[in-house]
Order: sequence, then structure tokens, then C-alpha cells
Amino acid sequence: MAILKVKKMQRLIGNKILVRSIVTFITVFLFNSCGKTYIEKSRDEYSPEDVDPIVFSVTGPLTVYQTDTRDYEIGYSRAGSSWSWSVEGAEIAGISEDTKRASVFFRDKPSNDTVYLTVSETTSGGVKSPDTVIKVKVIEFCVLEIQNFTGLFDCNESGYHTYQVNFRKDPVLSNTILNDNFWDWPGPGQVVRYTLSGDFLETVTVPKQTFIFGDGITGWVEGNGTYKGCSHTMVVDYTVFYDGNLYQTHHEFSPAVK
Amino acid sequence: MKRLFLLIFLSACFGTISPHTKFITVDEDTVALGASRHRIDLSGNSDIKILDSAPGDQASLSKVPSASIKEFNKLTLSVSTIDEKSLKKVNAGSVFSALSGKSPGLIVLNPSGEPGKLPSISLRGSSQLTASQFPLIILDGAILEGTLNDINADDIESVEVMRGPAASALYGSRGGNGVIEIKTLSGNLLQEGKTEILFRNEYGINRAAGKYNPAIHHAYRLAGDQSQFNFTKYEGVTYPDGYTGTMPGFSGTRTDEDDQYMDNAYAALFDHEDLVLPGNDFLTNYISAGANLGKFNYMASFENHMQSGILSETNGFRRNSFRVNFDYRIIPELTVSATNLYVRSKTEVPGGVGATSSEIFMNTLLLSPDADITVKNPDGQPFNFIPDAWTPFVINPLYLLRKIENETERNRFAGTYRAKLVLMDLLNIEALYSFQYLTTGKSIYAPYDTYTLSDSMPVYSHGSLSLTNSSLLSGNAMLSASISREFGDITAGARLCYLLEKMSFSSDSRYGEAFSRPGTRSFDDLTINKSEDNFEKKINSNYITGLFYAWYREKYLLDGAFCYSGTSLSDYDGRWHPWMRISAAYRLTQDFEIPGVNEMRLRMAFGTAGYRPGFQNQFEVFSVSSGNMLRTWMGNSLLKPSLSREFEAGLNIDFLDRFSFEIVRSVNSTRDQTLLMTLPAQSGELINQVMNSGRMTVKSWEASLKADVIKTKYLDYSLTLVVDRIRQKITKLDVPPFRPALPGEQEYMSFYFREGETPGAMYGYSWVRSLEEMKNQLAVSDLPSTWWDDSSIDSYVVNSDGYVIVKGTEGTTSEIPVKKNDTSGMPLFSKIGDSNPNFRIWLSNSLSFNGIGIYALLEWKNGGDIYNRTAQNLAGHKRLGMMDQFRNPDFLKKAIPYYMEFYDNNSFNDFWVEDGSYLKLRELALFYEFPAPMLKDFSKGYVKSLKLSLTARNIFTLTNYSGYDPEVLATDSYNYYAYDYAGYPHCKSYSLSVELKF
Repeated sequence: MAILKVKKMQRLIGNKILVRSIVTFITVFLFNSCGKTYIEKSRDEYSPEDVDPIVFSVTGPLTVYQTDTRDYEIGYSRAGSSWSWSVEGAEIAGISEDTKRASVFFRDKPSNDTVYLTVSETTSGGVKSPDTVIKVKVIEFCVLEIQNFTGLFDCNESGYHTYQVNFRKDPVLSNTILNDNFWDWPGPGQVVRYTLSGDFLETVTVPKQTFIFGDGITGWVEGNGTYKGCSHTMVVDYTVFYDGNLYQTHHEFSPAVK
Repeated sequence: MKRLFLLIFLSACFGTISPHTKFITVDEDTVALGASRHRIDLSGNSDIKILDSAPGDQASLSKVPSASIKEFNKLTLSVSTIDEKSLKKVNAGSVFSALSGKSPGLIVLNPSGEPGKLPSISLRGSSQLTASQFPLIILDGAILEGTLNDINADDIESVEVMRGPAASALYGSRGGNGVIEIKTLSGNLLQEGKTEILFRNEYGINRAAGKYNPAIHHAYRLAGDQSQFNFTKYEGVTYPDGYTGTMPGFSGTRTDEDDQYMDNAYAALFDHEDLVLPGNDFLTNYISAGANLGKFNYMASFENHMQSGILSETNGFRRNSFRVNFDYRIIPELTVSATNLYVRSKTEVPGGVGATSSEIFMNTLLLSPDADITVKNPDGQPFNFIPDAWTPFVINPLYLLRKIENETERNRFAGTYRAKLVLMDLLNIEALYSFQYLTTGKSIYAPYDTYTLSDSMPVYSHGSLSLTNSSLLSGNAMLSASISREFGDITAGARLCYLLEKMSFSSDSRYGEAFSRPGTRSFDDLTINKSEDNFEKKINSNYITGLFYAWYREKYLLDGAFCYSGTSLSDYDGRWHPWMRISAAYRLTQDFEIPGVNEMRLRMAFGTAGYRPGFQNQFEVFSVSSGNMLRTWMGNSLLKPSLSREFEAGLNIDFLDRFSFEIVRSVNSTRDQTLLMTLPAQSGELINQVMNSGRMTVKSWEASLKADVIKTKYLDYSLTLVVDRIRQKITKLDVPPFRPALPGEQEYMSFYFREGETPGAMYGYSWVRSLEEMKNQLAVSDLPSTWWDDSSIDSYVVNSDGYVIVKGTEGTTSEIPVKKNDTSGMPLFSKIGDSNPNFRIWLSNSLSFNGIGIYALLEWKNGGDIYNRTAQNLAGHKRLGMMDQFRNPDFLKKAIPYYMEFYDNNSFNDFWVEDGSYLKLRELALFYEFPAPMLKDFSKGYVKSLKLSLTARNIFTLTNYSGYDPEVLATDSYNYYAYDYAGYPHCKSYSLSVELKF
């Protein structure tokens, strides 16, 4: 009888140990196998507020002309982010729907000054980046008004001397003027035609054209140069063909002192 | 009063007396006793006679109350015996699958679900550095040669696992990896005068155990009118009229969106994994008939086994086996027995060459999700060769599966013939001869109209044919004598044995390309690149073995063995080698009574065994190229088998009447490994030589607990817990560190062999994961800084994935993880992982109630890293599921360049090292045995038993591993390298089995 009791007790103890061992093992099995990967754990501990934004890339010109409207664009993408733009000394003409691109209009800025374009990013978690300030140099620029390049101009010809020429508007072509005293030696009624670009490049083109010189010899002239819309000056380099020879000529035009 | 008897299981020369020896105590009132194969005559109670393997006139075991028999295995060594009942709790297609979780120290790894593919088996870790870890297999007393797939699990009576060199010392130069001995069924298991017929039919289905789920979104810009088309229309691409998305002809280039998030939808989605891996069925029909007619008994069986795997267009593995075993007792002292086996099997390798290059499985994952792989080719052939014109390098896996045949057909004849003579009840003499004749024919055939790529355009390859035929003939001849005797309190025995082992193998291979015309399969019709190879080898080995045992008053057990073996695999200088074992056990409970403890035994053993070098290693090898003969391998006449020395100590406790616990510590050191070395330049043109070099030390802890938790008339519940922890290290390497394969074999390049290192350690680059780490390499950072201060830690943050990046770049295309650098500022190449698990645990549960039973086997592998090359390769092709950002919240989105940095042009780095821990429900079986009275009424006594089983295998795996399955290994030799590259996915299966006995 006593032996039976001992055996029963042993069984009970055995069962308890066994059941606990099995439960422990299975718990450890599951716990150990249910762990997460390094990336999963990292992601679990990560929140939208942890994204630390910096506006690290903006594309757009750092030098602009007065009156220009230029686009500035964020050079990267970040899901859920939006960007805020502001400018000092110019105005935001428009912002794209995704806020990544801003159009800046520089008309009102005085010439040869700097505009400060400021942009910041706000992430999907509401975190705002530090402001990124872009310094934009504004170059003077006056819209071409062709009448400013008509009338008497002093022409300083390299290796010769300064003499006066009279520019008048071409009756047909826009932004084109006619010089009636080229080389200070035109044949009767002879003019040289200059075309001004009218854009920020402010270039002058003298298309190749026949020219009768003061001695009646027919040659040709061709050239290019630049002009300044604000100062009404013009610098042109020519190739001139006269009497079987080519000549290089440089002219600097400025309004004649009245 | 109890009597102690000795049963000697004589199998072959190798069959150790000790492991097979059972001591049986018999209660005085027992009138008869039988044990599985052997019967004991108890007539007269005082004169007990062993009639080994001889069917006699005694009462059978079934008539003896089990409580009256106490049986304990000799435990001086680590030998696990797995009986038929344990093996067949779950029906298994292969006996090796059935071994999983049955013995501590026995690791069965199924690297894939490929039908006919053998699992990798190792005992107590990997003692070989580069050679196979596969243990020696003994089938019915003879060494098994060739593939092991011919063994049919239904025919198995028992399996004995000798876990280490100490246990397998008798196997000499073949025992270094341990030994698994398999015995097949025979008629003497039946009650005398009984005939039994058994039918078992099993039908089941396979499904892929998991899916990779590649990305189903992309980052390309879509055309504005995409919604009007059924194919994915990209911006910047001009499509021809009538374009359907399955052909080339478009012009232009698709470009990524600015954010490069893979979150744009394809116009169509096809589940290529479902199409290529739909799952198939499997079937086993088994019939056996056996009878015990007293002097003569027999067992004959036939099996038809078909395992189709899960691949489309591939039949998988077929096997038919026919077996006849019989024993005939000519006179009471002389018994002859024979086992005869014929097996015919056929294996189809998926997609021909694709099987070895992983092309089938990798391509399945690389295909764009909108690629329809079911449409026909322009020439009418099924399955378009290039289903996605955007990825012309990805060949349709269905096309390869259908078009290219790769078949292996085997025929095996095997027989074992034995005569056993018992003289004067003391001396046993046994003679055994066994043979195996195995022919194998392998063909890989690509028909004339098989497409190939030429300048990225599909053209007919004109086909190719590869034929390999081989034959293997092996024979074992053995003569042994054993004797046992009692000397007062001492019982002692000994055995002497001689074994001659011969094996010859020959093969011829032919290969050629470009058939002269369509529709032919003749080698003579091939026109280019024809080649022919022949190979022949003959191996002779001799073994002289002896063993002795002695025990004193059931208390002190002593066992010793020696083996002197010679093999032609070594030249004369290294041919003959001695091997030995000495072991002892002390049964404490014979001296001390410990409350609750039924049996406690301490044991220790020391033994040696070896592993033979390969056949060709002793010879010089020449290659012929353009008529020039060049020596490429230098022979080594000094080569000898590796030498494993193992010391083990164990404790066995049986307690509380129903628990049985074992714990074993083993230390095995294997020196003189056979390693392939590249010789220094001064040796001229001889570049490779196999040498004896290096030492591997394996230390293991093994434990098992078996418990009969509940044992009543109606309810039985038992469980077995098996645990092992294995640590292995290269303790000596006489050569510079090297990688375990020839350069160019990319898959192994992350694994290093170096002294002091663990085989299975992975090497590569790694990524900075904390700002602390980043601080240490700021000064030597080679990051191309532009807008941030690369010398300030404030310029860095840890991103949502836990990697250090430049602050402010998270979620953008500029988000780039930082590689760890060494002190010189160069990327640090260091250890990044270890394939070896911390430990493994198997828990098997068996519950039965009134004929209804349930069996479950759980396997838990803790730790052990896997290198997921599949995922890395998918990342490089923008197909990795992780890269799909569609479901990610904004703050977790990552752009393609971020993942490309981890892809790192396929260089090994720790991003792709994953934890391979898993908990797997490996087997789950529910069965019902109809009550005998019901069957008797129903069948008028003809049907003895009827059993229905529902079995599920691999149906549940809990793991963090992102691949198909965390059960991964490189090859059988490098089974400690967990390297995953698009292999045949693992299967889960469900089956119904009906077993009838008449």
C-alpha cells in the first residue's frame, strides 16, 4: 500500500514536472522563433517623427537677371514631405502642386543685388527642416527699347578715332537698326544693319551684307557683339572685306554727347 | 531471483557485438521469452538457451507479459536504436526522412523539396573539412554503395545509429562520420505458423512550403494613357500597333520616376510561383507477404512509389522495388538467410541544366509580374521563350521545364546471403556474402528546336545531347566467429572477423551539340563539340576486426574493439591503419538505491575511426587540350585516411518508472584531413594536390528524454525530447587560409577556412548600424561628401532600418548606408555570420486513445545564420519583395539606390545574412485503428487490422527567415554552410494512407 502511495506521488510529481517542462519548452520555442528581424525591430521603434529632414538639394540658377522669372526645384523626393518657399527681395510667382517647385519673379529687385530664397521641408511626421537659404545674385537688366539705340552715337573705332554715326530703326525688321556711317566712309545711301537680340543675352548680330565704300568699291561686312539695354551702349567686332583684303574692326558705340 | 541473459545480434562483420547486445532480465516465473529476431528457450528455467535468429518451437514474445521483461541496451557507447514502430509513426518516402528527430546528434537536413533528392545527414556535426559528412550506411550487414534513395521505408525493421567514431571504430577507415545500420523486415518477426499480408496505399499532395513573393510594383514612369491598355505602358516608349505586352517591337527606354520608389502598379499581375510550382501529388502502393513456418520464414514485398514534387511539367521521382528475404533453419544450429532486392527508379531533374544553375527557380522570381508565361512562341511551341521583352535574359522557366529533359534511370540488384552456425551454445560462426549491382543511365536532351539566345534574340540551338552510363558492382565477403561465456560473476565474449570489400565502377559519358535535323535524338546526328569520356575505378579493402566485452555482476561493463584495415585508396605507404575503441560503464543503481531512480549508468568511451581519401587523389591527373597534355593534379602516394579520435562520456538515467534520460558529452578531433591544395609556383605545371592537412575539432552535447507520460489500457501518451548542441572549429591548418572551393565558384566565396575559425563562418563586408560605430570611422571615412561635414557625427543618423545614413537623406534617392571601414579607410572584410546553430531540439509527441492516435514532431533550431543570396540577386534585378514600397507608410519608404547599395554588385555583405532559427512542425499524423472485434465481425476474421492515417509534413514553420525555408545548406560536404541560392523550394504535403493486414 505504502509502495503504491509512493509510486502515485512520484507519478504526480513526474506529471507536474513534465507538464511544466513541456509548457516551458513550447513557450520558449514560440518566443524564440517569433522574434523579429533587425530591420523589423528597427522599424517598430521608428516613428514618422524620427525622420530628420534637411533640404539638401535645390536646383535653379544662382545668378539671374532683373525682370526674370525662374524656377527653383527640390532636387530630391521624400514621400509625404511638403516644402515651404519664401523669398526676400523678389516674389514667388507660383508653387507646384507637390510644392517641390517654386517660380520666382525678380522684376522688382534693384540691380546688382542679392535675393534670398528660403525653403524648408516638413515631413509626413510634421518635422520641419532647418531653413535652407539660397543666395541669388540679380544682374541688372533693362528690357530693350529699340528707340534708345537710334539717333546720334559716338563710334570709337580701334586704330582710328571716334566719329559719329546715326542709327535709325529698320522700317521692316523689329529690334533692328541701320548705321549710316559705317567705317566713317560709306558710299552714297549705304547703311549697315544691326539686329539686337532683345533678351537677357543682349547680343548684337551684324549679318553678312554687301557694302559700297566711299570710293565706290563694293565689299562686304559681317560682325557680332553685345549691347547694354540700360546704358544704351554697344560693342561690335566686324570682319570687313574691302578691295580684296579682309580687315578686323572693333566699334564701341555710346550715345553722342549732346 | 532474476536471470541475466545475453542476446547477440550478429549482423555483419562490422555489426558490433556491443551496440547490438541486449541484457535481459527475466522474472523467475516467466516461462518463455522471445525478442524481436531472437528466441530464448527457457525450458527447465535453469538452462537457458539462445537460439539466435532461429525460429524455434518456443512461445512467442507476445505471450509474455511485457512487465516481466526489463531490457536495457548496453550503454558503454552512444548507439540509438530506432525500431519499426518509431519509424512508421509517420509514413515516409525515404528512411532518412523518418530518422529526423529520432536520435540526438543526428542531423537530417532537407535542403530542398526536390523529389529523389537525398537529405544531408551528419552525426555529431561535421568532422570533415571538405569531404562528405555522410555516415556509412550498412544495409542488412553489408556496406551500401551508390545512392541511398533505393531504400524503401516500409521495408525497414530497425535502424541503429552509431553516433561517433568511438561507436563506429570497428568500421575503421569508413567509420569517421559515424554509421547508420539498417535492417529490413523478415518473416521471423511473425508468430510461428502465421502468414501475414499487408497492403498500404498512400496518396498525397505536395504544395510549396512557402512563397518568395517578389515585388509587384515598379518605379518606372507610366504613360499618361496607361489605363486604356492591358499591358504596362511606360512613358517614353513607342509601342507598335496591336502591342499586347508579350513581344518585343517597341522602341525607347523606360525611366524611373524621380522618387525611385517601387510603388507603381503593373497593368497585369501573374503569380509565377503558382504557375511554375503548382504542386503535384505523390503515391505509394506497398504490399508485403510474410510467413513464419517454423524452420522457414520469408518476407516478400513490392513497392510502387511516385513523388512528383511541386514543379510543373516535371514528373519527379519514381521507384519500384521488389524484395524477398528468407531464413531457413537447416538444423537447430545452422541457419541460412538471404535478402534480395531489386529496385528500378527514375528521376527527372527539373528543366535540364536549370537544375544545376538554379535557372528555373531564379527565373521564376526574376520575371516581371506582368509577364504572361503561358502564351505560345511565334513558332507554336508552348510557353514563350522570353516572356518579358524588357528582361530578355530571363528565360521562361516553363519553357525550360517542358523542353529540356534530364532523366536518370537506375537499376539496382542487391543480395545478402548469410550462414550462421551455433556451436556448443558458446561459439557462433557466421559467413556472409553480399553484392550490389547498380546501373545508372543519365541523359540530358535538348531537341533541335530548343531556343537559345543569340545577340539577345531567340534562335534555335539545334539541340544537344549528353549521355552517361555507369555501373557499379560491389561485394562484401565476411567470416566471423564469436564466443561468449560466463565465469562466475563475469560474463565475457569476443569476436574475430575478416571482411573483404571490393568495388568496381565504370562510366562512359558522351556529349555533343547541334543535331543535323529536327526530330532526332541520336548521338550520331550531332555535328559539333562532340566529346567522350570514360572513367573506371576499382577499390579493394580488407578489414580484420575483433572485439571483446566483459561485465561484472551487471555493474561494471567493459568493451573494447580493434580494426586493422587497408584500402587501395591509399598507396603502399599509407595503406594499412589500425583503429581501436575502449569503453566502460558503471551502473550506479546496482550499488546505490536512489529514490525514484530505476537505473543510472555512467559511461565513457574513447575510439578512433577514419575517412578515406578519394579514388583519384593518389594519381596524377592529366588534361589534354589542343593535342597538348598537361598535368593538372599531382598525385600523392602518402595519402592516408583522416584520423578521428573521439572521447565521450555519458549518463543514462531511468526514473519514476517512465522517464528515460540520456546526456552525452563528446569531443572529436579529426586530423589529417584530405584537402585540395594549390601548390606553390616552383612545382612547375602541377597545380593541385590533395594532402593530409588540418584538424577539425567537434565538441557536442547531446541529451534526450523519453517519457511514457500516460500508459493505460485505453490512453497512451508519450513524448521524446532530443537536444543537441554542436561546436566545431578548425584547430589546425597547415596551409594558408583558403576558401573551400575553387575560385570562381561564387556561392562559396563568403566562407573561409582558417585556423581557429568555425567552419560555417561567413565573411564579407558589413554596414554601420550605430552612431557609436560611425564615430570610430569618421576620421577614415571615404564617403564622397558634398554638402555635409563627413568628419562630424552630427552629419549622420540611424534610419528606420537601423543603418547609419547621412542625415537628411532618409527616404530619398541619396539615402545610402555606410559601409564599415578598417583603420586604413578601406571597406572592412570581416566575419559577418555563422551558419552553426546554438542548438537543436526535437519534440515528438504520441497520443493514442481507443485506437485513435495523433503524432506530432516539432523541430526547433536556435540560431545559425543563412546567407540569402537569392534575395541579394533579386535586389540587383529590382525584384526583391522588400523593395516594394506600395504598402509602406511614407516615413518608411526607401528608394531603389538604397537597396542597390546593399546589393553591392553581389559582393558578400551582412545585409543578406539572416537568422535561420525556426520552429517547424515537421510531421503531424492522425490515425485510427479499427477495433479488432469490429474487423472480426466485418471481415469474418480475414482482416487482422485496418489503419487509416492522415499525415501532414512541413505544414507549419515559424521563422524570421525570408526565403522559402530556413532549412538550408550548400552541399553535402559543406553542410555547415547555410547558403541559399534559388534551390528547389521545400514542400509541405498532406496524405491519406490506408493500411490493411490479413
